[in-house]
Amino acid sequence: MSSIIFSFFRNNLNSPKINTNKRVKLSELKFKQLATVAAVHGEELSLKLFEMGLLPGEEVELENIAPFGDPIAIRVGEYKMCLRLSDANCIDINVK
Amino acid sequence: MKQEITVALAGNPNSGKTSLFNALTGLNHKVSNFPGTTVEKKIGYSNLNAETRAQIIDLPGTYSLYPKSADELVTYDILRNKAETNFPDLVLFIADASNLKRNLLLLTQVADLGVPVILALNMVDLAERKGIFYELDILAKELGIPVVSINARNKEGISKIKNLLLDESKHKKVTYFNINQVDQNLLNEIGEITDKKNPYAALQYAINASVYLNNKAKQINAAFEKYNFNPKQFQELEILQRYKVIDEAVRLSRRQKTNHVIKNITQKADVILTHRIWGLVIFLSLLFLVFQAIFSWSAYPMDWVEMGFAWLNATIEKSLPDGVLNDLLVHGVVAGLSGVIIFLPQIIILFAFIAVLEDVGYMARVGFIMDRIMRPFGMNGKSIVPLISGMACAVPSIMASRSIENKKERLITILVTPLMSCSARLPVYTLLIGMLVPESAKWGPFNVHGVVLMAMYLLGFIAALASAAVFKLFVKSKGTAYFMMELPSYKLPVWNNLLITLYEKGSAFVVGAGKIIVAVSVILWAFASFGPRGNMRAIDEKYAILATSVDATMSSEELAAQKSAERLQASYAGEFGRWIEPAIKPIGFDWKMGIALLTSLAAREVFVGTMSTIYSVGGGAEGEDLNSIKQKMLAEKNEKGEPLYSVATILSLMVFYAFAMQCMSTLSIVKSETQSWKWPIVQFIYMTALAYVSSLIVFNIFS
Repeated sequence: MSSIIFSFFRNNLNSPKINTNKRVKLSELKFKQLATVAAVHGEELSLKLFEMGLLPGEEVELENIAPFGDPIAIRVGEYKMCLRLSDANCIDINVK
Repeated sequence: MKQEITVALAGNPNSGKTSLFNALTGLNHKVSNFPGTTVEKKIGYSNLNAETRAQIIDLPGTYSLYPKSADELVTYDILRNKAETNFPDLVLFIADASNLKRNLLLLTQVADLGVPVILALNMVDLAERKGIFYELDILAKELGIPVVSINARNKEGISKIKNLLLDESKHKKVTYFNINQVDQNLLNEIGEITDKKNPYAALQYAINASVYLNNKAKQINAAFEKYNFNPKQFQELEILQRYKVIDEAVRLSRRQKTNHVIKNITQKADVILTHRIWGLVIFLSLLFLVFQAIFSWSAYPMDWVEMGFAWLNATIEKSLPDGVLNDLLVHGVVAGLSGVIIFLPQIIILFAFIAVLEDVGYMARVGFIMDRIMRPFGMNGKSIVPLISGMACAVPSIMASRSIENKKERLITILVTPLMSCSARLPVYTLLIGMLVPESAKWGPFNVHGVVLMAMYLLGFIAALASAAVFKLFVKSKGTAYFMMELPSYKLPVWNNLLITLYEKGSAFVVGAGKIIVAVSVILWAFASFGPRGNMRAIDEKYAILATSVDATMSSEELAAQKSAERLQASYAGEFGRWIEPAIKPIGFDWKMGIALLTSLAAREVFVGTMSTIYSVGGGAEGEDLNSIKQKMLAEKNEKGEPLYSVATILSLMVFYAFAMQCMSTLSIVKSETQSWKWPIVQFIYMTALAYVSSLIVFNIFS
């Protein structure tokens, strides 16, 4: 029973919203580009990111890049967080 | 007898929890440890009215009740166990209004454990500056709990909170997540295994237990398998469903004036503060400023402490009759204490800088700009906070490493943090640097003392990185390494919070270090004053004859000085010092330094106290101040008649104190944080070996 609900939910989660926007990785986001989160790959990573408010549908924007090009600081919804490029590489976004 | 209610203060990191705790309790709180852990537990008291007071437990800030790191585990532990003595009557949840959605996730989880919750909406002004307003009554209605808006920094809304805490009719238990979508049979089984009635609390405990706790983990995993239950998938589902409820409540209560996010001061500042060149330049300049400040600002308060102790010594010496007690107090206790308390101003200044940088939000940026540099050394950006606060004291810093999720990165951070020059080394460096260069020396506009001191701190940092690189090869890796962190908006520091922090740290230093130092001073004084009876008597008799002999080439004062020096050599302390001398001779130390090394094993700052005691006992002069000890040490000659404290010896001593593991408190904290004896032993051996070899090299280069 429970597994049915989970699989239902997961499909729902991963199916992209209907749009014509360009799908790229968060690590490829450029300054001043706005995007929405489409999907997060990796079970553990997605849990961690969801808890921190980085959810599918949330708006993201690249704000700063650290001195050696990594990690990056992004605006997620209303706040600012940072993450490494390797993790940003597991996040799909739709560029607006 | 007043009535008492227990309130847990919960919330995300950076939501203003500390400010609210201070606003509610002021100085009326105590800091201890949670039972069985080293996690700091702050409990404060707040009078609600004439009859009732609230006991307020400050929980560590966390994002969710599925702990990913050790400090989050504590918050979870307190809230899950109803049998626990600290289990709260209700939870006061503080949320950052400028980022409400993410903050409310934890609130819904806490409420589902079956504790009544009230919501204090903080930083409303910050949200308003972003153009976001909330209708509190709608938010309260949607969430089903009381909501008040507060400004913890200005202590606004505190009376509203107190009234809510008193009004039991408003304490409501609510649930946000529908647990019934999970297989009922699984819930029943988990309920039995975990012995919990609330199904959500039971399942949540089981999921955490399957990862963190050994007992019952087998049973729980078997049950999960039986019902084909994937905990990770469940958590994902749970979080997303919670966000749906939260989204609705936020959407209905929120009034947005502007549609686009206004670029605020924080973003403008970050462009410079995290800039690839300016970011690093500003960080290094700040560090430099701190060391300059430690030296120049502390000069006057240090003079006052010195004068105070001189007065105390003189008073005791006069008012007590001559004898053992007088001698013990003046040359043992007061000499040892003054040698350390005098550095309190410097330590306070260092703590103040660290606290302010943390409070304004800059420390998170330091983590951000340093992450890439720390990575090759098996650490991450979050390691920089323990490392920098390690310059104040390794003990709280090692506790601060708990925010590092990855076990390998955390362990390496713990192992190398004590190499950062802590405030206990400051007295040692100050004394030794003072023997190398005169205090007034300047390099252009800079104080040479400050520059040399900064070099010592840099040396510690480089040694920490190098050791980390070595440990990276040997420590086995577990789990994935993440570096995810909130970069909070810049805020002005709250001076009240700063003062409370400084009061806590300062008194902890005086009481903690003071206890050890008094004990060590007394023991040391005894070891230095007494010795094998035969030898001591021989000296007494020899000088008794010399004093009465007609052929008096020496004044009686010189005679007394020589006598005490000989007595010290013959004492138990002298015997130990000479026993260890062959081992430390290659690095340029004599037996008196050997005694100091022994006593420094308790804590490094005891070095100065020991030197004060040795040279006070040995010399018998009246002034106990630092300068006179410095003079006496510099006047000391070795057997060849050259100055004992040559440049090579002083540098060797400095390097030894920079690297050696001489702090019992640190070792015990490492033991409890790593849950094994292995790592403190490894740490003791590697640091002491590093110290000895480095001192050997330095001594041979410079002599």
